[in-house]
Amino acid sequence: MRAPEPGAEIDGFRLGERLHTGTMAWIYRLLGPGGPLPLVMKIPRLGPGEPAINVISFEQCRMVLGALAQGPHYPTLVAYGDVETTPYLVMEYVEGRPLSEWMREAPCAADAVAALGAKLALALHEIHRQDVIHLDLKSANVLYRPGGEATLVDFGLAHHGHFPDLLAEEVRTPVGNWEYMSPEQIVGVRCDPRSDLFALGALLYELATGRLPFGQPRSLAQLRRRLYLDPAPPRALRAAVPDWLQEVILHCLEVDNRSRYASAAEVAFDLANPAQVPRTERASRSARAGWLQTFGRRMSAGSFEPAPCPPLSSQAAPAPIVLVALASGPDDETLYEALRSAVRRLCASDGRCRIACATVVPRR
Amino acid sequence: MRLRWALSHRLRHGGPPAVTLTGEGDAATATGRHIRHLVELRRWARPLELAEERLTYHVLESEKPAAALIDYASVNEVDQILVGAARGGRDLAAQVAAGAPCSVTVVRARPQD
Repeated sequence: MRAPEPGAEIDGFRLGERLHTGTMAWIYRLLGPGGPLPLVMKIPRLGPGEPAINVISFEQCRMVLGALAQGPHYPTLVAYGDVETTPYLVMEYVEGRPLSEWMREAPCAADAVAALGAKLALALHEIHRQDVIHLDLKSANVLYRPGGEATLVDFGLAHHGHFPDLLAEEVRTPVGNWEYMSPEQIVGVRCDPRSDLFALGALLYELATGRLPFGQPRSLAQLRRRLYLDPAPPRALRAAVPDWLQEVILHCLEVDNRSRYASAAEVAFDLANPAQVPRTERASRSARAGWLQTFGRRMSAGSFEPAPCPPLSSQAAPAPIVLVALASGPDDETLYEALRSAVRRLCASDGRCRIACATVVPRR
Repeated sequence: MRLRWALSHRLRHGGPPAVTLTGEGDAATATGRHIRHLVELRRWARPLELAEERLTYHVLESEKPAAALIDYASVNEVDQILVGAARGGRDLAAQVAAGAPCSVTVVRARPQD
């Protein structure tokens, strides 16, 4: 499928300038009779040569954005088209400066890094409070509004703790930005908000030093290196990085999720109060771990298993999930109806139950 | 409410012909096949008349259906699995029941009396 041209009309919306061409979707401004509207349309890339994950990611994005309460830290979902007929999402156009513009100027001064990081941490805390994890943080996905608040965009790979995860089982190679990806995401875990804190640490590292903490991995083997090879301490690359900032960054980048900050709010607090950051060995580290220690870590990295995800923040027990397995073969209407009767009986006894309808199809 | 606001911004005047994003349900493409399976799942669920937020649809790609369903149930902490009884051939229901981390109900269609 070719990218629709600006000026085209989709389901009554008029496309304006194309803002972004991603691997999974395109983003356009929308036009009204008097010029651009404060809206964008996201259109998934479908058709020959495009992978099925584009559809899954579209559905995931719609589900997550639709479930978030209105707020400044993510775009408001305004309308959407059905994936069967006209798949698109219409969202608020977020006016703001992307973090990538600061990244181009990196290394940045410590107070600028702390200010940007604290705002981003508050945005993360807000989505984590609602049991949403972004899982694809990068500098292009963070915008700073004129008022200063950080806004997260692109929830196509996000996880919502209240719903079955559309991406969990369907995706084999780790999806998301490899440069900032947490160790647990590398092994397929998508339910830990501390994964976003790892990515936050990697972004702060890059802002403060101008370098990526784990380089640009090109293969799974290179991606897995961060399970045993620690990044060079920021102060070893750039002496101007203060010890408290190194402490915060390396605290976020701990391989063991339990050793990281427990919440984004704590990161925001530390970045806003440098004098109160408790300095540990991390603050004074001047070199990577020695070869012997790295060798030992590498030996155990093969069996790396992250600690379990923390419980959901909402107190209510999650609604029970019923998985209905439907054959992908020829329809058997009597059996289909029998399955529906069974679902109706279950839902009658528990009004909260969620139904996950699944079919298994051969890979091609 | 939010939706209505957006609809009021829709354009009514003429211009270039409307673009259709449909026709992508083409079985020759990976995205098209995926959408077709999603459509089938939705068709099955429509008569349930459940609120949209209570339903999710998953097209799992695997050569091993039972293993894929069991994996899915473990990762998503599924409480119960409903699976149709097979009429001959490999018995998916039995395989799922043997390995699932939760209760499995095998549903059988009974001829109407």
